[in-house]
Amino acid sequence: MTGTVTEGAVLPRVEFDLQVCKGCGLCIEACPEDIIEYVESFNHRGVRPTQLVPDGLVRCSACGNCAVVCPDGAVLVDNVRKHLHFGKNDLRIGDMHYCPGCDEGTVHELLAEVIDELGIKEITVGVASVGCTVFAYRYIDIDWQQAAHGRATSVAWGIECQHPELRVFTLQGDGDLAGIGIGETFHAAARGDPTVIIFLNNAIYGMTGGQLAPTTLLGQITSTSPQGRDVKNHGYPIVMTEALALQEGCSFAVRTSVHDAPSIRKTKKYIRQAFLNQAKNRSLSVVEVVSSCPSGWKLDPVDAHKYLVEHLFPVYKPGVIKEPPGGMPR
Amino acid sequence: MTASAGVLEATQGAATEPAAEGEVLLKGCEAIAEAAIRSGIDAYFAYPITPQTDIPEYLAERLPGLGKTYTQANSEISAINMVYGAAGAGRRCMTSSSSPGISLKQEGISYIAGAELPCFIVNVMRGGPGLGTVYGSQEDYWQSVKGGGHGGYRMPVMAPATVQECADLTMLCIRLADLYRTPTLLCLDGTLAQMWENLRFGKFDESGLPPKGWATTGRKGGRKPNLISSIIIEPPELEAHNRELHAKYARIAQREQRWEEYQADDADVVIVAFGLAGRIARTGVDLMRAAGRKVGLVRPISLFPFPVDGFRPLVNRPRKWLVVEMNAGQMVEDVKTTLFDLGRVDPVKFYGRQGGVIPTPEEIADVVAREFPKGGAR
Repeated sequence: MTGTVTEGAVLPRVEFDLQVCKGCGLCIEACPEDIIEYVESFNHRGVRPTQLVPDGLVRCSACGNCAVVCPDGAVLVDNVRKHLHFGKNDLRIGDMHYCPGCDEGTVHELLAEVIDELGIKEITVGVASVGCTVFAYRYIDIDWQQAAHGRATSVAWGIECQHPELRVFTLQGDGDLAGIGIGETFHAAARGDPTVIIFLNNAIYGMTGGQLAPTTLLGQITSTSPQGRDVKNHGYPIVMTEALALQEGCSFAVRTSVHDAPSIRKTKKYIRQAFLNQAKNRSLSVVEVVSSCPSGWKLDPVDAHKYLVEHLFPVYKPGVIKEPPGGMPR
Repeated sequence: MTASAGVLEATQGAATEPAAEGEVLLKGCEAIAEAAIRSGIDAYFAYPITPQTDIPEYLAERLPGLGKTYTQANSEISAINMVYGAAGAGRRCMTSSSSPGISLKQEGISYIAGAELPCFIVNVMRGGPGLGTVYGSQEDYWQSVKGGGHGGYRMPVMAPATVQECADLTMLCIRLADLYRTPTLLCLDGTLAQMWENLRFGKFDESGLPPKGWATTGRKGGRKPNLISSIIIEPPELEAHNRELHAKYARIAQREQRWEEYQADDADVVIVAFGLAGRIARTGVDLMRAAGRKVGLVRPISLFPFPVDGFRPLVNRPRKWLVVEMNAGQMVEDVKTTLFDLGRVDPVKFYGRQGGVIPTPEEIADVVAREFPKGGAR
């Protein structure tokens, strides 16, 4: 099927940055019109980037899904009716080092957008722990502290107690937050620190190459559970966010994901809500993002998202776990 | 009346010797805590452990009323990382612990050294290894001065021998931290921490301390973002960073040596001892002088930098050396290295007590008599 151009119609502006693209293919999967394809040649990363098919612009509904799901902000969709401007703003800087199709890039995009839109970039300090997110300071253009493994919430409290005017958030993986730093995490909830915790749970140690994590699923194969996680040797996966929500000092807890465009849009709302809750209630807000790790899981990025929905969601159920005082905004 | 005035008055009532004008009677831990307040610390992060818990107790009572932060963390690890956060945010801050707890803090101290954050740490040493005993010892010399954490960093380490020095060196450590952007450590044994003495508080020297434009206080006014970090992945970049760190340590080594010399000039036997052992050895020197032996003392006050300059005037002729420590022999290595570097091959003997046992002045005099008999063979 080919489209035709109606006289006087305004076509959407769709731009694919062929150099930024890592060729993960998530945009192809997300496109309802099936008008995105791989380029024949390779870019400087050594991958085949994606682009619109010939005449694709005519069939494009400008839904923006491709731009929303791109973890690296390589796609821009702008149409005159509604401004879908995901992926580009002044705070998001630099080329991210994450593997193709990694959800952490998407979370960075959302964080940068929320901080920008709330107008808090001059009072926000990020704390990035050891793990894949340790270089987050290269990608969001605000003040940062890099914390030792597991200690992000303690570092955050050190900043907050001295500068109550600052908005401090942590970016932590599951090994960091639920493994080595579980004590620090719980005591941040017990103290009621006014921190926003962005908890990236991909059920694996990503940076070190895919080892068993506290949140690894039963039966899940990792490099240190080659026969799959079994209870006898490794115990059960830890479910953190419900447990944190039980603490009086935690006033907002939610579990979400960024595996498709609707979930990404929802996650942005949750991150925004967490920062609003931080300002209003001055206690802990937790946004757990169930994430994929295509490299660690040894799966194609699209298949990794399918695995996430099929296997992680039954254990880590998405949804609002603790509504902030006054309820969620409509 | 502030809480502290109450504490000070109450302690003065307990004095057996009336304090002189301007003097107060405090125990070592309290002198450290009070001196820290007078040095303008903004935050203190605590975790209880014997025999230093008087420090958090004193500061828990005082700091909130002064509008400062007192947080009791969930562990020593958490406390040192709170220090990292607060120091990175540009505030003057402190933590304290005792040997096992200081071991737990080592990772955080290494990060603080790598990120070049100023902060003040107190180690009230107790006997080890392991859980050991709560009684005072000097078994953490190596850990303190050789970089207890990973990565080959150094930091100024000061060792008081009196309650007066507990206060003075606290103020010095807090100043040096800000001056050099480094963690600093006050290293004393548990006995001194619990000892009561009269002292007089000096005034904190704020002069010449650099502004903290690097702090993460939010990029207000559109300034460039600040980053507190110790990660430098590229080897040539990390090497360059480490060279800068070690150039700084060399400056510290040149400028910040401190020691006490006591009757060493004409001494045939020089005792080297720090902290409480140094104080006891000084009494031992008096005993031996009264008995006609020419014995003197060099008491290192700065353990890093090791006070090499204190030995320079004493290498003009052959002498005998006795190192006394409340451990199995740690600082003795630095004494031997120092004498060797200064071109001497004098005999260096060691005497130590361990596990919380404190040597007596008589014991030290006996050791001198045994190891270096008067008129005996060299």
